[in-house]
Amino acid sequence: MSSIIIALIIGITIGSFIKPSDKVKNITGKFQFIGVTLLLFSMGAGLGLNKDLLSNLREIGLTGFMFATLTTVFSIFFVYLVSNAVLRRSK
Amino acid sequence: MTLSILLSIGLGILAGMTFLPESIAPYMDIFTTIALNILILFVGIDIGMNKHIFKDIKKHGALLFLIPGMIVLGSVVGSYITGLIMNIESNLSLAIGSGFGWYSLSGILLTKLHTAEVGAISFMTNVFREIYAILLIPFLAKYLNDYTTIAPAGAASMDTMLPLVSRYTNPEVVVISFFNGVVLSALVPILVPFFYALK
Repeated sequence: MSSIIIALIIGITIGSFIKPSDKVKNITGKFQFIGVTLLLFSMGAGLGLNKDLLSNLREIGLTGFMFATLTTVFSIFFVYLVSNAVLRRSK
Repeated sequence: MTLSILLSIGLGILAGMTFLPESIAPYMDIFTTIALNILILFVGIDIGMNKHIFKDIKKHGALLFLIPGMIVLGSVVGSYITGLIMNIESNLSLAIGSGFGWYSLSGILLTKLHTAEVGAISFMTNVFREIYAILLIPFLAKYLNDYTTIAPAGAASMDTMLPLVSRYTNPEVVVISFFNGVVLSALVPILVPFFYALK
């Protein structure tokens, strides 16, 4: 976890010395895209390799799915409500 | 973009289930960490290049605390209702809901507090939450507003989901997203045992 904070601080420091241009943004965008692809692939592989998880998937999967669905829906609902109100007021 | 996101996670799962040897599993974790750190570095460069970012954040400063607050509220309400539907005791369902998408921690916490089964449910809840985030972030940015992309990401809004938030929104939202992840991650080890202890 701490390595993420260090990576972010190094990035911000490098970025603050770079003059922003479309060319640089294009490059950072491309690196982010490649990074996201690799990250999601390895996250997926981690799930696929977890045999214990896969064998119990049906029993615990449905319960987990229900929890994820409702917590996600209500989180989106409340955040949208509040952020919309704040944005409208600052306009 | 959404298609390539789905493709990469789908191919990953498939590869893990079929041809990748089990001995590679511990290295996958290292690989994920390296990919993540390189990614965050570039997200950082994006933030650093944006010179008036802190002025932007000041404009919507209230959101820094309102967003994590609303995600906690939404997760509590959502998990309470799920508990009622699935016939699970409310202290347990609230504890499961307080993982906020951080599967590695909340799964372990609940395995220790209760049973491996509840730990596994918590783990799966957060895995599904992350999948929801991957699927929904592009649509939330397009049809609701940029800040709402942080909601499904939960605690993962500071690491694995940060690059996605970055891709679909702007550097101001990325900073708020990171801060949201820090706040929620700090709350997981506090709220999971807290709700579990409520009887």
